[in-house]
Amino acid sequence: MNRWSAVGLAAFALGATAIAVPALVPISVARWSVDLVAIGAVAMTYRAVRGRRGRRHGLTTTPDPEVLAPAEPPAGSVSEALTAFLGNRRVGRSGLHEATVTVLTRYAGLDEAAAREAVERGTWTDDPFAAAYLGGAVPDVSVVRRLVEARGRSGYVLGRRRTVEALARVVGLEPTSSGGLAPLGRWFDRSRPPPAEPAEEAPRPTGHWLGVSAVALAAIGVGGLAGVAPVVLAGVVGVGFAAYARASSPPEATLAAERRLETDRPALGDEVEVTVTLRNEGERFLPDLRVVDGVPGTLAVAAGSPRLGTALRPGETATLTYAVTARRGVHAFGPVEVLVRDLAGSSEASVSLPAEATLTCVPPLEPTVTPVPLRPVASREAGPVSTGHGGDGVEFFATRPYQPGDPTNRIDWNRRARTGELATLEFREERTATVVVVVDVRPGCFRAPRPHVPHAVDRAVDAAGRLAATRLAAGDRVGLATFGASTWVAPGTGRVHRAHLERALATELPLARDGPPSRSTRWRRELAHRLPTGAQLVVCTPLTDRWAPGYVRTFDATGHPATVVSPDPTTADAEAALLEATARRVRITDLRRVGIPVADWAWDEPLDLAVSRLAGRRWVP
Amino acid sequence: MAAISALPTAGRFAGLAGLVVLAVGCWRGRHWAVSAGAAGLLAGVFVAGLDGAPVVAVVVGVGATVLAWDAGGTAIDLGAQLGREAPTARLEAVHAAGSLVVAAAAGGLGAAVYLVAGGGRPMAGLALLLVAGVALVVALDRA
Repeated sequence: MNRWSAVGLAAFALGATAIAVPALVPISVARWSVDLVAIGAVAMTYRAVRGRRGRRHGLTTTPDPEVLAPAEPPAGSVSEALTAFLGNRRVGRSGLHEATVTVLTRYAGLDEAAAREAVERGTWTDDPFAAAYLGGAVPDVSVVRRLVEARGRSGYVLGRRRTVEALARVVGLEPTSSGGLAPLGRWFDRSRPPPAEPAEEAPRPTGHWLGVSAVALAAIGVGGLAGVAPVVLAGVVGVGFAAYARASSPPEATLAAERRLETDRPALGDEVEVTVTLRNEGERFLPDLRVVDGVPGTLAVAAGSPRLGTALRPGETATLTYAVTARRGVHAFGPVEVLVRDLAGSSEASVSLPAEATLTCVPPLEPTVTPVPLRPVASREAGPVSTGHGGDGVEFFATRPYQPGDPTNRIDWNRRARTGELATLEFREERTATVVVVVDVRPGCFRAPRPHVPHAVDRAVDAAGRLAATRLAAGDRVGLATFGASTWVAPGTGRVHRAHLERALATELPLARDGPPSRSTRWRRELAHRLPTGAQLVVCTPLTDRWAPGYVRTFDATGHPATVVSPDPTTADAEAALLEATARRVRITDLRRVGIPVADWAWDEPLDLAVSRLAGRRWVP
Repeated sequence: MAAISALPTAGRFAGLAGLVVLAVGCWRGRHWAVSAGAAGLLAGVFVAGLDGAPVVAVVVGVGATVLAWDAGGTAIDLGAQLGREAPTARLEAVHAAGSLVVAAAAGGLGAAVYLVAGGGRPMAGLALLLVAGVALVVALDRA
């Protein structure tokens, strides 16, 4: 009981007495005292309304389980993209200067001095704004055009944007829009602040009824000033609701949840129906339950809604049904999160109900039409790598004079019949390759052109599976490894090994970035140690950071010829994204220049197309 | 006189405008609009009361306004927490029923007191009761 209620109760007792037995309260007051109280009520109304306005942030946020957890966002600024491109701290004009020289030395056939001169003299591009931005000469364009182009932006921003676009054109990218900075909004506006830890907290006020007393106070104020009794009395309604909000007892939820999956081993892309049953196991009516199921961030809801708002009598159950689309991997469902409110809705508690369910999806390995071509290398076993040696095989290679001990089925009997000489046929010797398919799963690779779609690592895993299947079918020994984690399947052949690979690809590779970016390279030493002598690498990496090419080149230089298949998650729209796409092109070119084949796999094309481009063949679907 | 005859028109306008703003607030999910609309409706009801509407009509009007404000706010919160697709009819029905009972009980009590106790009360008692009302409401709102 606080001061206000003490005053209120005392006044009520006195007032009631004064009305019932006027003789007991011998005070006479003037009409203006009623006015005074009414004016006080109006002032309090204002306070009540103001109190309501601070309430909005009190609403408990719920997670967003319908969509895939967002992929890693692109660079947020040109400076960030430049740092990732150049690997030093040069940003702004000098950074772009450096980037332009880098690009020109790769794509325009200039040496560094010539490239610098071209940049300084502004001859590297047709765009006068871009040339002037780096070269210093004022663009020779009319004031009107300059104003139209700038569209209200400063000359600096215009020049920078045009420079980034001109650079992108040099490496063969076509900017899709001349939009300004990175549209990071679409990455972040949907991802609300992470919901508060759903531990069993004490019930908290929701503020739903905050300000309802204004109804009573306004009625007393208006009615009192005007001297109209019905209006004053209507304020009773407001008092009633204020008391209701206050008196409502905090809920105590005794709930149990159970989750059933239609199947826990679906095929890739299947829609799996999920049914969650919620049961009130307590003695009390639960009038306000707001339920959000713990759909894994790696699964997207295909139909229905994993949310429900309901009320449950004791012993009653409610179900919510929705479907998720199965994706590669092991997906563990989280607990069912429930917000329990009382009937008035003025207090709320969070409850987290354990309901275990795991969905495992192991997609079958499907070979590509064209096998990824391997680098020429020799090993000791028979198989499909052409060696450039004569020996055992199927393709004719050469003939040589007969030597005692040659098998009779190798003697060239036609020549013997024609000339009487004995000669031995030799065939092109074919040997198996040992191939280790590597998936880059380091933080920074989980990129996608849009926030809530499968990311580049998903694509890389898909590619790894298909390339592994193709090489297995061709008789190679195939293993699996990662950049950034310690997953390892030693090279092998056969059906059992194939199943092993299938399973490892689906279940052992991360589905989303786990943990902050790390520069730990323990995986590198482990991998170098594990790779069998002469094993080739097929590295599936988006090449979105400047370290990936270095890793590939190191392995390539230490006796493990590498081929890169690179899904491209970059976009060519915003300035920073365009610069990232340009940097990625430069990385690809650098790798190709040291003789490492790279298949640049665009986001909207089939893997077969990218691989057949690598193999130099036309791909017909 | 002109001011007095203009009062009902202003009341009607406030009520209608409040209704529109409240509806739009519900549609767009804006708490402030729902509250502003409810304030408009309340102003309309008060004006009707000042203009001589019977006590039952005024009490019902205030009760209905609070119910609309409550339902709108609940719907917006549900929209934010559960989204548009989730089924929430049962929750909303139970909540609205609870509020309706409170409105009926409180409003009924108020109207009954008014109708039972006739006129001719001492001014001191009235003033003290108003003080009591203000103090209790403020105390309740400090939840």
